[in-house]
Amino acid sequence: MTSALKIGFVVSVPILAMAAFFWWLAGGGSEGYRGASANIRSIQQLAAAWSVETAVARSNPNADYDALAGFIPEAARLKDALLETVQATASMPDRLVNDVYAFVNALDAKEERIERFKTSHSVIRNSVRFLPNLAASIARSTSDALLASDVMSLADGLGEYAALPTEATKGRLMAIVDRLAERQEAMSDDLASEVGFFLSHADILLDRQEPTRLLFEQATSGEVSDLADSLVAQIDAQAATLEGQANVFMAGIWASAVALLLVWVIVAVLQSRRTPSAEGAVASRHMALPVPAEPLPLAAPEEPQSAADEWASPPTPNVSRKLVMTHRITAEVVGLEIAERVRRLPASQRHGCDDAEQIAELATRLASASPAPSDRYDLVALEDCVRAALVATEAERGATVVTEFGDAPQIFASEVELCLVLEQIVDNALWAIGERDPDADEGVIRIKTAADDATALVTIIDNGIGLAAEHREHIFEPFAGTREDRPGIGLAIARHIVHKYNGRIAISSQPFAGTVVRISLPGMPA
Amino acid sequence: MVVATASAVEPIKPIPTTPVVDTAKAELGQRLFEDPLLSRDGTVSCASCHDLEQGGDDGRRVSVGIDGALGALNAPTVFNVALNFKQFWDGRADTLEAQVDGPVQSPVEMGSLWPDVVAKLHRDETYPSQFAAIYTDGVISREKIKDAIAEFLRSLMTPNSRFDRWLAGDVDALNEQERSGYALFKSYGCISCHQGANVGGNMFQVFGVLNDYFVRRGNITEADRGRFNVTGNEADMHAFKVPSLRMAAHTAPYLHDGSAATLRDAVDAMFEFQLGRAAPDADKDAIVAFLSTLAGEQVPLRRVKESESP
Repeated sequence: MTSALKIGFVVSVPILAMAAFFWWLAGGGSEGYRGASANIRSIQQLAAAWSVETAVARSNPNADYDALAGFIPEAARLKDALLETVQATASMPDRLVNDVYAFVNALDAKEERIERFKTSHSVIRNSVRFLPNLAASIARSTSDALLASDVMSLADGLGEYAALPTEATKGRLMAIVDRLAERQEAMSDDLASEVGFFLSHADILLDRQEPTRLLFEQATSGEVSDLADSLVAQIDAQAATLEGQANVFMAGIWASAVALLLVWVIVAVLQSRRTPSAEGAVASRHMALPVPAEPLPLAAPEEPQSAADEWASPPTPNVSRKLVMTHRITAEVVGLEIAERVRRLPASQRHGCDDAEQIAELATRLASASPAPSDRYDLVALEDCVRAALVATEAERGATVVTEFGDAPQIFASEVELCLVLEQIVDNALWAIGERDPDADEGVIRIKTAADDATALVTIIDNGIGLAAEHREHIFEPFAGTREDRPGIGLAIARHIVHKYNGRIAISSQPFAGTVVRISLPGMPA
Repeated sequence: MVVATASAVEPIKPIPTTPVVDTAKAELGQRLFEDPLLSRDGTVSCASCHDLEQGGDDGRRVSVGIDGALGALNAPTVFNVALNFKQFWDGRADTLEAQVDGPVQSPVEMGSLWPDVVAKLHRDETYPSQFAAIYTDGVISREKIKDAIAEFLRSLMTPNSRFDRWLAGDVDALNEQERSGYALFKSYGCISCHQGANVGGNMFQVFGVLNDYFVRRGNITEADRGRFNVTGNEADMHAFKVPSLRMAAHTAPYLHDGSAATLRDAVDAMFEFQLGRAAPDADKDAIVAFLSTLAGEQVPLRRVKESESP
């Protein structure tokens, strides 16, 4: 297993996912357009069928308007769906959106005209239906031959006019209407009332016939259909353009993704040919870690106040690198601990774990194979690490921090790792201070750096809750911690790092009085 | 032969016998329909003004909402509403679902805000599970409440009326007076507007085609403007949705303002203002007799209240 292959995988997967997303996006874009044009076609068909039914209702004297009414909910549904699609298609140009609204307005106008046509047509149809009966009834009930003749010819003429409205016919019929109206006064009440009723209907026919015919023509015009044709053509053209662009774009994305994958596979193959020996070396180095040294003798520390301006600009190591390295070191420490515990198991309990060394090696390999950036070694000032640790732990919130920096030599090491050591210890000190009685004295952490020839010394003293004797014995072993909020590997990590640089770490503590941690690290000669 | 083809040529069609409804949804709709929880102060339900035992309306001239507020119009029946081409007297709602917004939010009807209604139903012990059983994403919402009520309304059909049976060829279903009433209904011209399966409800028509009703009555209200309130078009002044006459025998009083106390009064008003003529009493009585044959059976939907009580 090479880290190159992993990195290749890690890089390629998001790129492929992104490509799939763009593919979806491109497809979804034109989908809205295609959906809109299908919807417009449906409305076009509905409008055509609506026109046909309107014509049927006009020509059939017994037709009801239920069929026409049936189009209304369907039209509303299609209209809503169309507008929803258009609104959801963010890329649609305003010009097209406006045209879609104009199209919907044309459909509304059609519905309104059909409604007006119905209203007008039903009244006319009613008049046409019974004017002849009314005329015959009047003719029967009068002895006035001229009246009878006028009424009959008016009824006939209105029938003609209903079939073919012309101005000439209208003029002739208007003359008869006027004549009948004039003679109405001379009639008996009953007859006058019947003639009045007859004339009301004649008026309706004469006045409404032409406007109703116009309404019918508007209602059944091909306006909606024509608009649909031009709109669908525009929308489809736009969709085709988009789809063409999407295809080119997608081809590019796929080609890049495939090329990247190829590159990573090649790199991975090349690396897998030369890494085994290197990895073996790393593993064996970890296996040969030195045994912890004797604790340093305790000495009562004297801590002068530090200058406030030393806090001005603490160094902040790259956070993600720090995180990766923390995990890696944790993995190493835990891996070694697993190996150690397996090794200590009595033979009867080993159950297939005969080769403890192999397990330890696997654990360390797993740690070193993680895709962490390779660590950088540099000349590191302990003081910088102290400041970084204080910032990272927000130490000032939990305690008064006093530092006294001597002229400790610089250490050739990973700054991230050294900072990690100090962070663990400061974090423990803060916890120990927090565990005391709430009304105890002010919590204080004193950190002192000093030089002993070419060795750098750092001492961290807190007045926290301290450690019981039974805890001190195993305090550097993983999972031996006394804190309930941590798994107890902080000090194990610290010791692991200190030993890596051939240093020493010692802890001394007095229950309920405080703890002192001393670290010595070989420095570079000045 | 004439009998066999009667329904095909007659301008009135029978009501479909089996309304297509989702029974569980319609039952939820009925529960909502009868639940005063939908009103702001918990005193008025849909059923308060649309009593299914009283022909689907409230028998009042105009309806009474929360705090005793009087509505502006006569409550129409809820029976056969699915056959109406639009809803409300002025036709401002195209669908039964859209219609629900009106009474629930109207300050003189139920006076509620939708978020309050939804919240009240959420707090109820049984509504959440009832919604969850019907809708896949079980969250109670305004749209689902409207959907369920509309489904219930679609179930309120009254098929198999005596008139529909006569249309289907049962010559004895109508008596002599009723048959002559139907003939008069057609010959006087009532059929021009009251037609189709719902005997109305498929067009708008100006009230007062031949005599101005509103000049005669006076005291014109905003509601009297009818369809004009929706379109703003002068031609729609005083235009109303032609009401269905299917349940006319059971839904007194009549007309948009509830001014006709009896069916006979309503027929008189129609002759005067829509037809502009007088007619013999015998003819009008025959028409009233015919109208009483139009109401059919209510297709029974299991009553939610009954199923819950022990």
